[in-house]
Amino acid sequence: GETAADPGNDKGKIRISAKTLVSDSEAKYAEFTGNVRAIQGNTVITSDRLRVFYKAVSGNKQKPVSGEQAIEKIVAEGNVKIKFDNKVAETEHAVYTTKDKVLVLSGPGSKLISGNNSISGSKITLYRAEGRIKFESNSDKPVEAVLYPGENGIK
Amino acid sequence: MAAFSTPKFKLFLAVLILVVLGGTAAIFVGYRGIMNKSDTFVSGIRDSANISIGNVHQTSTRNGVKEWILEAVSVRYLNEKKQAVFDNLAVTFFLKSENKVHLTGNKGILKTDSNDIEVTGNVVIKDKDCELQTEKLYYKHHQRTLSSQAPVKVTGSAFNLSADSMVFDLKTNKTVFEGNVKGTLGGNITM
Repeated sequence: GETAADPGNDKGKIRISAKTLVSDSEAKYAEFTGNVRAIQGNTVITSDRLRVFYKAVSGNKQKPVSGEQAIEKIVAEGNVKIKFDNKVAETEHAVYTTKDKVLVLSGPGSKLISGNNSISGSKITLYRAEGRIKFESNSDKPVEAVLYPGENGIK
Repeated sequence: MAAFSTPKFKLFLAVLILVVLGGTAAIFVGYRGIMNKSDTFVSGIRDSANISIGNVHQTSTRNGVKEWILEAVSVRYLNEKKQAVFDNLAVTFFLKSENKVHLTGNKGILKTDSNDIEVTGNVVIKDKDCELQTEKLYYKHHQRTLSSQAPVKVTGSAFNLSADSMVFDLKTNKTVFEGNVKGTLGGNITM
């Protein structure tokens, strides 16, 4: 199979492999299940399930719809691990919305790791376009950070 | 004339007679054999192609609702097998959602008792969003499903994928792909 991240591959395309795929043309989603692996450039998502929601594709040939307009949202669930830049995000539930390029990790065990440093919270929001990350806690679980002096922290 | 009464000539004559008799017997036996087979041969013809028609157009409706239209270059109706064998067929399925699904293939066998269809050879299914290619496909009329146990390849405007098998439910417009699912999505989406 392909390497963890295959820099040689076409950066724009997302390549996905899984055991099963259910495609629902009415509800406009495609759900991959079973050892799901999605790769785009240096970003690698692995999870139990990955659901891709897409918009109705306009039929006219003059203005073919680009990939971005086609995909609206990607939801990964179950043992989710996302490797991107120099970080690893771990969670049970991750939602990425293409319009605003926001990735939200939620549920127990949501954590962001960079080198030896890690920060966990009940909800982690990564604003990919701005490079900003927000960690939120809930009543029974505060945000926890493990940071090693001399390292770059979580960037 | 003395030459005709020599032992050598008599021997030659005897052999000649034997050969002629043997040949005649062989031809007779062979002819009988063909004659015996001819009944089954003729009935075989009768069974295998009761009717053979060119330029076929067949419609299937259920409760007054048109479900599919089948067109083909030719068809052979096989009475005994309750089958109609179509060559170069094209089937249009009408979905509840007003959408249509177009199916083409080299050969199709319609089971006239169940209205199930088996299509083989360069099988292509197209709808407004994508195109699926495989080598063998089954249409189950009662369940209203299209399924293939052969590898399938699907291409769409923003994706393509392949899998070991698939089932497409025409009622719910849902498709399940199983085994070795590999897909490429989108163009300029950056995760």
